[in-house]
Amino acid sequence: MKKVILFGFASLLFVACGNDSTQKNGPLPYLGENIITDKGDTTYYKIPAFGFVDQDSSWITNESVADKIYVTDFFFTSCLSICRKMKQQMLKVHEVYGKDEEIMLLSHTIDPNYDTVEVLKEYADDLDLMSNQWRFLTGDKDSIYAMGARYFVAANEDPNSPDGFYHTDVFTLVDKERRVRGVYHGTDSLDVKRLIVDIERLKKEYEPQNP
Amino acid sequence: MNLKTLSWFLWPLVVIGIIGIWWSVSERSTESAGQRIYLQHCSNCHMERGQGLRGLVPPLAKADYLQNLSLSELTCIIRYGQTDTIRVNGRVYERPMPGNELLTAVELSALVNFVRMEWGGATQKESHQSIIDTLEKCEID
Repeated sequence: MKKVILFGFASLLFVACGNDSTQKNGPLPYLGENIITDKGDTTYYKIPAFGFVDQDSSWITNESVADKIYVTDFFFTSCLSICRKMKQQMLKVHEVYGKDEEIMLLSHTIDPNYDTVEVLKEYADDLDLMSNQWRFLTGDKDSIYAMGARYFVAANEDPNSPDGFYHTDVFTLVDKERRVRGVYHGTDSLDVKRLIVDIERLKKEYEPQNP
Repeated sequence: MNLKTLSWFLWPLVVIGIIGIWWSVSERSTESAGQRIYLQHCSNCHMERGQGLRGLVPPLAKADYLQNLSLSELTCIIRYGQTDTIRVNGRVYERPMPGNELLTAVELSALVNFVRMEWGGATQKESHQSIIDTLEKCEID
């Protein structure tokens, strides 16, 4: 009996220290409602076409992210709660992929009335970005909120909040076919490390297969 | 393997476990009230270790601006916020800082002491009363 308890204790330690390697291999999941047709084909959930204006007054659309892996979040510049932490974490992603042409970052403001192109420009400049790979988007308020829902982000006006809005801290990972491949807590540094690991996995999916 | 050899193998594990538990408990108890208030009310912008965020939020750690603030100036900024343009380590910051007018007096003085001891170069705590008395001198916009 004693031996069994000891063995159980030791094996527990191994489980606690070990990594679950099965989660680190193979393709990333396809999130959202995927439809399987009668023939057995799968139609994956896909981000719809969109169009917003960035901090340099450029028009950023689904065409701009064609053939790109991209990460989105939703924020606003006058936010006093979680936004700065999210930006600190998104900066980590930018520091890894700022020079990588395959990757884009799209931050949407949920306060487009205040966050004009000029305000977003100043905000982006103050982050000392190393490239224009990170775009800060503004546009029609309702379209932004609708896109938020598509990226699994809850964002809206909130008269009960001290700064007037609520939004979740979600970072959404989207592949080159605009399919959602992961969602992450943008205020949690461990989860953002997971995002970077997942971007690497996703990049591998697009590498030519070895014969 | 008999029981005796097994227990030799196991003893170090037990010791490591006890040290681990002790370490995690003591870690928690050394977190001061001021630090808790900082993490709750300030770290969203100034970050956990006071490093700030590039040109958006000024740092507190290794910041000449903070080190040159008097006790009353610091207390007033924390209580009522800051709208002036300031220069910290050579960089200009223009975004306003909101005040913390909902903090109780006890929370406020714990926070002021934490910031001064952690990053302001202070070597000892100021008394609660001396901190609260400085509030009367604040110029409120």
